[in-house]
Amino acid sequence: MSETNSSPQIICISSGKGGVGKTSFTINLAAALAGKARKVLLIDGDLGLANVDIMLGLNVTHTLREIVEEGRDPLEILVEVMPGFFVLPASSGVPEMASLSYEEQAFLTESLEQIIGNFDFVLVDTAAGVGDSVLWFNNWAGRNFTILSPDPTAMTDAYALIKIMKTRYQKTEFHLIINNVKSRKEAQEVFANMSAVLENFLGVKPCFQGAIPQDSAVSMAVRRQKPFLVAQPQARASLAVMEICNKLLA
Amino acid sequence: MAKVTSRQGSDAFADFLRLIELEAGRFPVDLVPVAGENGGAPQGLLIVDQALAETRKKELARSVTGGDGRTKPAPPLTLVNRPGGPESFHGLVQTELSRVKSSRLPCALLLIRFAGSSDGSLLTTAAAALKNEVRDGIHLAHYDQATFALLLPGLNRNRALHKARAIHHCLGAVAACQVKIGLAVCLARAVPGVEEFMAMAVRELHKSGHDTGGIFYSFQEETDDSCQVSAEERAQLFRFTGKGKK
Repeated sequence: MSETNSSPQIICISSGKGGVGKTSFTINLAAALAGKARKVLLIDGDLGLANVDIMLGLNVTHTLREIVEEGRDPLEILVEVMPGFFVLPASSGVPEMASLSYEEQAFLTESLEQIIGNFDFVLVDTAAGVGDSVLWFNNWAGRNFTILSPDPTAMTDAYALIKIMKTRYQKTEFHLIINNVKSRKEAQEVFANMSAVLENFLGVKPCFQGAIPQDSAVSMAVRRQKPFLVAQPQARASLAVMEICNKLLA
Repeated sequence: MAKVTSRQGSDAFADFLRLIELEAGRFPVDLVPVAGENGGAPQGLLIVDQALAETRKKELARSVTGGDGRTKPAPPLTLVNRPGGPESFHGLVQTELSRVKSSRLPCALLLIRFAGSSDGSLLTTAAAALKNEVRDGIHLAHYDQATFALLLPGLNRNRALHKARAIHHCLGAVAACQVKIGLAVCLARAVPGVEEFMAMAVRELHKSGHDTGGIFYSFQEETDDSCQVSAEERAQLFRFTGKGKK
């Protein structure tokens, strides 16, 4: 693989709460960016309970676990999903990977940094929660995307994650994506509310990165193990992801 | 009976006991450590109701420790810098900080200075007095001619401060000069490097004086739950969904 970009954009996608749509959004954003002729690396940051490979219908033989445990070259683990869209899959059902030591985290970071120069974008789909790996990936990334949906638990968890990243890691720039909204108005209300609380208590002004509407195409694509952007490019959710992609490239 | 399954060996058991001690600090109980032979690794911990009569506590302690639990010989102090040099203590701090990361249990570092004294024998006298205040696993070293360094594994801020006060009181009785203590506590969420941790304690020691009661620690301004989402934040977050009243 030839090197294309010595300093790619590293974007970490987190939510705090599980089931908000991180993985679904991330694989579709990766597909959208690849469709725009960008080279994208998607790292499955849910190191102990990986899902990216499942949602893409991949049958992987090697995972990030082998980088950590065996020192395997990350390039040997890469899976090309479609032209320009590569995945570094993680392991599933391996609790040790979900709680890496500081030394292992440092080793993994070093290994990843050896290959990310090959890409224009590096997307990290983190685990749910605020565990070590989530915080570490968020700290590593240059951009932090936080996904939330219009329900109190998702909003609280997203806020808690941002609060931790601001308080402990001095991160100040956060991009919000409101998923599963009934209408554009609802997305605006959620963002306005979240934004007001973040500004009031943390002095953080989040950026509105976009909103994804409720769409049956999303759950259908999950079952078919395909990005909805590929399965139904004209679906409302697909158009919303394209909008976010274009905003990112603008 | 709880079983230590996460890690093997005496270190894991010692960490487990510290965890219990930390939790027990919130309740009105007395703890009687059951030391191994010749003050070796801890073998158990007796927890007794603080409200029990002293005689009953002694009976219980005797039944477990073979002594009364209170008058048993104090464990030997580990004077790690003799003859190994200061690097030995440095290494112990390094080991302890690594354990904080893996066990998530805090540790405290006390620098104890006898102000205006360069009398080496005073430190020896003080070390003897300190024996009653320390337990197995605590490391003591000479920091400089008039200063001790005391590494206290497993102590959180409150317990470290309590211990520092007890030590200050104890040493005040044996030393004619002023005793100053600088206290630094390492929490799992932010483990510093060895040099940084020791420098923290040195800074605290320099700030210590009569006006601080002989002990200085700068963590009193901080809150343990600085990242906790407050009720007020929640209320404002839920305003949109109409759940703020709850």
